[in-house]
This record gives sequence, C-alpha cells and structure tokens, in this order.
Amino acid sequence: MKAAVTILVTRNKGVLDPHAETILKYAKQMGFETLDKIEIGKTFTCVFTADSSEEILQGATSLAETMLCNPIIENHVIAQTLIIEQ
Amino acid sequence: MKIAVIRFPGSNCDIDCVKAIRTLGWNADFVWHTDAVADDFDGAILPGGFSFGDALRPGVLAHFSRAVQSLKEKCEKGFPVLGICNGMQILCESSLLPGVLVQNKSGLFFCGQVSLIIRNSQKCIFTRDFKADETISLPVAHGFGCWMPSAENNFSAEQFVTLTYGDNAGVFFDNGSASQVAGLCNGMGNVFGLMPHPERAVQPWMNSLDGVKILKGFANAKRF
Repeated sequence: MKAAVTILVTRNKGVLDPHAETILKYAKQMGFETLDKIEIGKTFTCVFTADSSEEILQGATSLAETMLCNPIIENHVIAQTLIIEQ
Repeated sequence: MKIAVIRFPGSNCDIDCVKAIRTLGWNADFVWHTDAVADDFDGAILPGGFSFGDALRPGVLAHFSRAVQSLKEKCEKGFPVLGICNGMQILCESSLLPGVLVQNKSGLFFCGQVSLIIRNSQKCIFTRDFKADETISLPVAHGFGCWMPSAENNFSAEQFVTLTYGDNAGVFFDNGSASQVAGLCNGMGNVFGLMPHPERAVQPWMNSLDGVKILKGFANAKRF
C-alpha cells in the first residue's frame, strides 16, 4: 500500500525563534494590531510504500524521531495519514 | 601525522583546513563524505561551511554520512576529531557532543574577530597546551552559533565546556549561547567542537596565531 503521512514539527516552548519574532514585529508595524504571536513550524509530507499501515506508521515515526526533529528544540506530531493506494 | 579533512557538498573551509595542517608540517588529505575515514589517518577535521546547504538543520544530514558514522567507533577508542563551525554542528547533531546549535539570538550572521577564554584546558587534547583561563583571539563567521544544552544533559561545566566567548574585562560576543559556550569537548577529551575558526589563525598575516596550538593538539592524542 502507498500512503502520504503528514508530520508536523514545531519548536518546544521557550526556544527562541528570531525569524518568528522578526515577522511578528513587521506584521504589527504593517497594521496587524490584533496579532499577538507567531510560531513557525515545518510540515513534511512523506509518501511511503509498504505492506501494511503499521509498517508505514513505524517508518514515519522513525523518520521523525531520527531525522526530521531534534528533540532538544522541537517536537513532532503525525497529523494525518492519507492512503493513496491499497 | 596525517589528518583527514572530511568534505561534504557545501563545505567551504576544507581547503583552509588542509593548508593550515600543512603549515604545521603534517600531511592532510580530503575524505569525501561517502567514504569511511581510513585507518591510516591520525585524526580528522570536520570543516566549516554549509554542508548540504544547511537543509533541514545545520549539520544534520552530514551526520548520517558514511564518513561521520565511521568516526563514531574510532572516537570511542580515543581517535581525535576537531569540528569547526559547521563541524561542531555536525558533532552535536550526531550526539558526539551534547546540545544543539540554533540560530544566533540576533537573527543575524556575524563575521568578525572575537576574544575567547580557554576553560578546563587540561580536559581536552586540543586545549591542553594553553594556560588555565587564557584569553585567545579567533575569527567567527556564523548564523547558527547559539548553543543550547539538552534538558536531559546533566550539564557539567567541568565535563564539557572548553571555550567561552569573552575576555577578562567581562565583555563578550553574545550570540545567545548558554553560558557563552563557544566550544565543547567530550568526556574523553578527544572530540572538540568549536564555532570559531582556528584554521584562520595560523599565519603571521592573519589576525592571530592562536589557531596553531589548537591544531597541534592532534599530536596530544598519542600520549592522551
């Protein structure tokens, strides 16, 4: 089966993000007065081909934990698995 | 002495490292990242630059390379490894050193000469020829030099910190690094990662010669 797994990686609380702070600062200067905060994360859509959905989920979890996410500064969530082919 | 300088797509300080080692009268050879570091090398340098274009995170893709993986087993036996700038990022991502390097607090890439203090000089083979708390001067050029310890790290200054930004007047270059960490070594003292560039401080026409003693530290591994 083939499936697309969406993995979201976001920064842990308390980890500085100068990019997000810069965007927030200039958004407010441009008139977005009601905007309080911006957090920037990453979205990975990973297409796997395997024999079972368990194997696909295992692959996605392993990829997230060993490569896509550095647990010191980030955490991840497997947001969605979309089956493309049975 | 023969030192391996590991090259990745995007490394740009590799030639400087080879030249710097050769000014000491030693041999230095490039090792492409898809090759293992051969047994006839006496040490390895992970040079500065932008390996894999800093894709995903600085240093992360490089740590999966055959060259870096071949170093892990060697390091456990005392093989000396010097990680400079991107090389330090690679060492942290590979867990050969603790913590992680994130973007400078200012969000800016900083390039300039800075003062540094040698800490725990006898702990690391690359700093043992310096006096305790000696101040040195090296150039830095980085956008991701802010060091953060991991929550699990029993962060012990005695165990790991070997270089901090600053001088005896208390002034320091602040990229947000926890405890102004500019360089770390592992528990055994044979793996040293630092954000400043010792290979750019080895000739009289450069701003300082403080890089020479650091690079000569490879020779200390034999009697470590």
